Amino acid sequence: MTQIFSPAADTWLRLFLVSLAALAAGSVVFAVGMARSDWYTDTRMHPAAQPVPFSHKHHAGQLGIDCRYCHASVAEGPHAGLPPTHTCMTCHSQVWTTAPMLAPVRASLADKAPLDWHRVARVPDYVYFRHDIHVAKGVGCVECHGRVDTMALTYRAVPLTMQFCLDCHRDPAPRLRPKSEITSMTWTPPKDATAARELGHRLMRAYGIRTGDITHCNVCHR
Amino acid sequence: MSAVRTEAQPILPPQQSYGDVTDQLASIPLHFPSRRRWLIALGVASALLGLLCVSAVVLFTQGVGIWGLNIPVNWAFAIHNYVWWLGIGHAGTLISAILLLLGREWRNSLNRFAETMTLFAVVCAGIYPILHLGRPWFFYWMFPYPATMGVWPQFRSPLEWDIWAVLTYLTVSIVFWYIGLVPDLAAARDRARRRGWQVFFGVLSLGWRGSALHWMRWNQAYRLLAALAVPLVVSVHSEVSLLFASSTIPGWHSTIFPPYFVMGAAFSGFAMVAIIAISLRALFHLHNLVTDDHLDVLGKVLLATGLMTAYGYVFEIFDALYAGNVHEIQTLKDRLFGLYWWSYWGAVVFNFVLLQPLWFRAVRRNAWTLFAIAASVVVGMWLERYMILVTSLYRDFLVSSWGVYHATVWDWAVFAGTIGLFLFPFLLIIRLLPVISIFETKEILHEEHEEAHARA
Amino acid sequence: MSAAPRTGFDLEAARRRLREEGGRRFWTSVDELTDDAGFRARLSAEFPSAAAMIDAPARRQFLKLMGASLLLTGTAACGDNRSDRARPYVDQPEGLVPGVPRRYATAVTLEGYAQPVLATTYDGRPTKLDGNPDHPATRGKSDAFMQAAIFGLYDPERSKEPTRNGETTTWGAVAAALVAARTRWQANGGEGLRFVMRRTTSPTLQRQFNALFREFPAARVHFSDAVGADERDAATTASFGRPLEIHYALDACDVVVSVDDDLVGPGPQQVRNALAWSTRRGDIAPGQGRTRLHAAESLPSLTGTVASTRLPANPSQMMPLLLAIAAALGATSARAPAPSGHGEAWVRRAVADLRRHAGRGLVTAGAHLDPRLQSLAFAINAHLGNVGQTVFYTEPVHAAFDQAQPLDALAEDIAAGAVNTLVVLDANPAYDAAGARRLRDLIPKVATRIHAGLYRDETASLCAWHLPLAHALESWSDARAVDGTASIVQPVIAPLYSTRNIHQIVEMLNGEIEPVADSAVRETWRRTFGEHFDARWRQSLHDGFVGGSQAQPVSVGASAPSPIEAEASTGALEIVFRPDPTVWDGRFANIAWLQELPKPVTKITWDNVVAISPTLADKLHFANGQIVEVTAGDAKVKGPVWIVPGQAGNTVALYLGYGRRAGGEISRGIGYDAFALRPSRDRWCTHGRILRVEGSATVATTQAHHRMDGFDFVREVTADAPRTPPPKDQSSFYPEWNGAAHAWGMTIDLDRCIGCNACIAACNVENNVAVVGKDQVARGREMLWLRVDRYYEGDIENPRAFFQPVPCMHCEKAPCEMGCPVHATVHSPEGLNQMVYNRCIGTRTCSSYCPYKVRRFNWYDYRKFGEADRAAKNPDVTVRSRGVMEKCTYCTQRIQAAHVAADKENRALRDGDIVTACQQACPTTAITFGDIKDPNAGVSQRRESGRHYVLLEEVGTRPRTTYLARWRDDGEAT
Repeated sequence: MTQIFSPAADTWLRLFLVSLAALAAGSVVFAVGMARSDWYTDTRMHPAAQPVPFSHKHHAGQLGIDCRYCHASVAEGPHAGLPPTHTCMTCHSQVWTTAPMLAPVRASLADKAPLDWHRVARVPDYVYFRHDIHVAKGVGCVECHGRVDTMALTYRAVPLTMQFCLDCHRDPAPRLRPKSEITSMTWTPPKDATAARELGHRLMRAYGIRTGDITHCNVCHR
Repeated sequence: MSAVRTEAQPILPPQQSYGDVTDQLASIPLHFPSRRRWLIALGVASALLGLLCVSAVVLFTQGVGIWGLNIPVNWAFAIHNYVWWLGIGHAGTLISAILLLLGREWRNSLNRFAETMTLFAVVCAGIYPILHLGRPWFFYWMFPYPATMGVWPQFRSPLEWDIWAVLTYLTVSIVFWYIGLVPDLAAARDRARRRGWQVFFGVLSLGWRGSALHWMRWNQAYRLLAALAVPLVVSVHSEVSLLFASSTIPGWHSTIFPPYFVMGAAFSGFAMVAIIAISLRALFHLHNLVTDDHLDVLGKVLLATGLMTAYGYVFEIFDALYAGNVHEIQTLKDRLFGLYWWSYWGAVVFNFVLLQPLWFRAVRRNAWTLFAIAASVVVGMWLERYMILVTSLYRDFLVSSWGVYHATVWDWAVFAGTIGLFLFPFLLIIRLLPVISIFETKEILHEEHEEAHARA
Repeated sequence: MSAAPRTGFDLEAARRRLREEGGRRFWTSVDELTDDAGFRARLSAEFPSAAAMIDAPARRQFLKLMGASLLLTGTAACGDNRSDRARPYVDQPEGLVPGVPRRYATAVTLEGYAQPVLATTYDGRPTKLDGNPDHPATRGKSDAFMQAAIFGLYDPERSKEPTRNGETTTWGAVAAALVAARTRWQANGGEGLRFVMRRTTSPTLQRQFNALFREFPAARVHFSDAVGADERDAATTASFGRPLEIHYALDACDVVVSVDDDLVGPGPQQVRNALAWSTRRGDIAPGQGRTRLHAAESLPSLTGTVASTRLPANPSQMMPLLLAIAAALGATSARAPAPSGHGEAWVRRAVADLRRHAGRGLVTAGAHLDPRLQSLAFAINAHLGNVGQTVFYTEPVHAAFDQAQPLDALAEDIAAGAVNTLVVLDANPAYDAAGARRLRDLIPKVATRIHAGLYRDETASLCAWHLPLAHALESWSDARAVDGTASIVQPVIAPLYSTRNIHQIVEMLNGEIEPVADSAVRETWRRTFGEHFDARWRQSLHDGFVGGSQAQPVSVGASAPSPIEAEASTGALEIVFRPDPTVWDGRFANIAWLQELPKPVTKITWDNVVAISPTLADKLHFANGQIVEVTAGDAKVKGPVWIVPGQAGNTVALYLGYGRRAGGEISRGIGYDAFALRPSRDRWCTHGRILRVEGSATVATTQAHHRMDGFDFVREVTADAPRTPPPKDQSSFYPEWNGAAHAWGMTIDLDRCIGCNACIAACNVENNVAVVGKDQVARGREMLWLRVDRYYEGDIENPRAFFQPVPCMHCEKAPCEMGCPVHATVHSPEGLNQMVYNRCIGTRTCSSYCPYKVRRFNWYDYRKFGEADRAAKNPDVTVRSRGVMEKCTYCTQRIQAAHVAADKENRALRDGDIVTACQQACPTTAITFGDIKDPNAGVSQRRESGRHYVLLEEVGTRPRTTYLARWRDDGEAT
């Protein structure tokens, strides 16, 4: 009887099966990788559009204004707090009073309408993050917000994934710093590894950090 | 049950040649008999399938609240139909693998559609765990994958074991079924005249030429998979039973559950096999291949597994009374005489009482009576699963939280839908593929001829 | 579960079953005692499956629309997805820290009495009310009404702007109209000017009205109170010549004899009485003596539940009973017929105890009873020398006016055409007055009709002008608590709508055009405080009350009781009226959340029923849910019947507050209007007939109807056997938890629990617990995290009742935890059984495995239900979405907050740093929470009390929530 298939058919079939398997495996790898990508976690991507092109680089970096001047409630409450328009105007009623780029700020003050910022570093609604306790326990701003003093426009510096939070909650020592250095953008632990670890553990004891207790779910989820 | 071959008379009528068998079976897909009846059946099946889709959409948009669930009875139709379908899905592998390894050739006429049935029964079972989730779109959290949450599934949970058990079982069943199919696909290919059929069967038969080497490899693979499948048959339903047994709920928290469930599974599975065998035999006039001897054997198997299941009932009662735990006894009372008494007594009647006529040879060999009894078993097992699930939940420890459950239209709609999900592909398969293993049937035929000569 | 009748109730069958069961056995409702077949039939007929889907979404749809009408900025917890935007203040208020709650002391009112509260506000949004811990009367305890006030504030159906004939108008127009009206009134000194209001304790309102009456001497005020205290005032007037306020010191009582007086039942007195009672009750320990409570009552009440001896008696039997007691004690000369059967024994015990504890005892008669009866009780107390020891009299706390007239007079005058202006201030006579039907016809006959209130209610719809009132939490005002202590009410949020508070409106009547919100109140207290005004005003606002302003006891001459005879009972059916325990007289009817709160005794939600006794049900062959018609005179109401064990044989109870015709979509059309039957004289009891009519209703209750054969869920100890057996050691295959510094646990003292629902109420508000609606409750899908189980023991005609609050047990060996495939419910180092909503995929395994069935599931997206009061949501607690499991968390958000506070100060947690919402609310301090590792913690000491036991110990779950057994005292003379 006549041949149904060409001699190559066998090869094609095998090829097809192999590529099928490859595709399946590949898509899993892709998905897993994607979830960690800067694009997906919106990390180190182009800054979001803001009503005013505010530059941390200028204010925090060049002028050296302390973070807490604007983010006043960072040590008292869960939210670091964005500066009320009045805070901006304390300076800008004196300097750059007519700068067109500050028009929205003046407008906000004039018609008592809040500035509508785009949040850069945010966690999902079901995460109950508190700034105050982190500041109290010697976690520097830079740990989660990166070198804002070098950001002309602010972008997300680290992927705020649960994994990111857990890494620190499981082993806080390497991320701790003296209270005096909380807002410092440039402080670094001692170069010498043992000294650094030593410092970390000393700080953990000093701050009375309850390692083990701070990794259970209700610490962040309620 | 004793091996058919030890009996004097052969299981298949001798006066038929191999060619006849091949023609008869391979021609079914090619020149399909009784298209009208088949089309009607397919119509019904697709209607039910449609119903499933509709209810699924409503379910996903509204939430599981559309079912009659509540606290305390927050598992009902979904889980108990899951268990029921999975049970039915057991006969295929059981027949194929175990009987193959035991060398019970009479199975050869039944294993093909039994395996086919298994596949779709397991699929029906498989969709329930996802349908019944509160947030089905997160079902993949049950799989261990490196999530950015840094959280893994909990491997202590019987539900977690469930996923693996069912998926493994499904995979092995598919492969087993397909490999068994290959030589017949080749046969069908060779008989096909039209180009379309040739390519179709050609691709599926993976270039099978029936060389001695092919046969050797095939035998190795087939028996290897059979050996793999056998433990699964036991493990899967044992695991499913742990879904209940590992809780503290009276009526669930019992060591009898694993064997109890496995037996019940085989029982309902064989019942379904009998039903399908009889229907197909009538539909395709296969009386020469699925003979009364086959029915006889099926009857015996039903009776045996049925009695083992009945033992489970007895032991449950003994268990409760012997332990003397007040809560267990309370639950026992509720099962026998409570709000859902009908599910318990229904199970006893359909699974045990109506089974007894099978002691008589005539009953076993009569297609109609066997069909009726098999049907009653399928219903009975459904009632049993319902009883096990609901009667334990609706009244557990604290009387203040006792409640009642009543299925809503949507509970029934989804269940009917899964029947469609089962029938639809099954009908397609019997339309497209040989429903009875051609070569294996010929194998028996051959051996029986040999014997005949030997006797002569 | 719900019930719709198929079979009649059969008392004999019930009795037989009780006998057969033998031993000590509990049961929870009458259905289980009746024929199970009929019961089964009812249940199977329960969900007409096809109908199942129709109304659940419909209801939610409606409530969603309702919610949409409320445009308030959402909270992060509300899952409104604008959280990628951030809008800072333009000018941030001084000292405000975003996300940190602030607490203000103020008060809400019930029956005019102040309920002092601390209001928790997040970023200016009040989310929770708690009692004011410094307040002398309530010591920080609460009741359900107070907890619910927050939902009254956010009710989107409140009136939003002034209207005239239904058309929206402006306050300017209102002022103009009033100015015009005033000139008319001035012309004739206010002839034909009538005010209708509810009793008030507000000194400012008193002052304003005095001014008003000075200007318009001919004006009159009519008090319209559905509950009020008219009978009590009549009684004190009869006995002492003037109305007086009565104060019981239950904490000083060795024995209390209550004649149909629900001392610890719902109402303004509940918190104070419950607190005092439990304080005395707390002293009970071997050797310290006991307090006895003998209660005779026609309806099972909370007081009867906690009583040592309880006597079901028809209203007509109260007089003979009290007479018998008085006679036996020699407090009256009147002839006392010997009470019958049980009554005789009850009286004997009561008399014996009262004699033995003269000066340490107390006889109380319900404030709703015949004044002569109450006077008799006063006389007995005087005779026993209890006055000044256990009972005190003070001048009335309520404002009093010489111009006050009864409401009936108003009807007469309107009919006579003597009324040209009617001003209704925060009252609803067209619905809740005794003669409401007549008033509905008469009010439109008045020329000028002005109504000021929170809702466009029945009365508002009859008035041309409707002036929206501000809610108490938006208002400046003042009020006095039950002990007379004055509180200055300060707003905790700016008015949500264009509303004004009642004082502003009275100022407008006084001629002001644009009265300032707080001017009137300040004026009042400026006069009181004199030159220290500023300091004391600030102090009072800070404290939440005016220090040392309690009403001072007055000494009254023991007056002879007016001679009375016990008239023979006519034998006719006695129909009594009671305010509903969760919606009161209907003023709270539009708060969905109170509608869903189970009634303490019947566990019914979303409905009022015709409560009848088992005896009556047996005689008439009624079953639960059967629609009946109750007739008194020419008036009749239809409602579903409900058999209440322990209700007096010849008594039928109708509950007020339902059958609303206006005032909101939630309340309208549910239940029947009991006011239709209510006589204007002798308001609380009448005679009539009850007869079966076609049909039956589904009554949604939160407790399934089943027996409890021989189980010991609720345990008791007695003086002879004062200790429970020590907990057995339950072995487990699972490893012990490696302990953290703390191990949280809770004890619930069943001896103190009065089943008042305050804990449930507080829990619901604190944890954003969803309201699901009658239809879902009927399906057994209520969301309560904390339920109060109710069991009965003994004879169905006078059973002993038990309350048992059941929150999550936080088992150390939790079955739920091993069931979850995705780690959504896990154990914390401190022993919390944590529920992680955002991880839950809804397999419901945890609930299937839970032996206590305390878990709740979001079958639908119940958030839509709460849309209306989203602003009331606690931002520290996730609002659960569809398809996730939830349950009591021990208020884990409070635990975390305490941890953060302690960690910031770098100190260890102290006992009392963490107070759960239920514990905080409980008026009897039955609930204690704390660290069971700390031997000095309150919770540890309670566990050592000897009455400690574990619920379902045999299951081996090792719960952290445990119970203290109830003291049993049959009241036998000792």
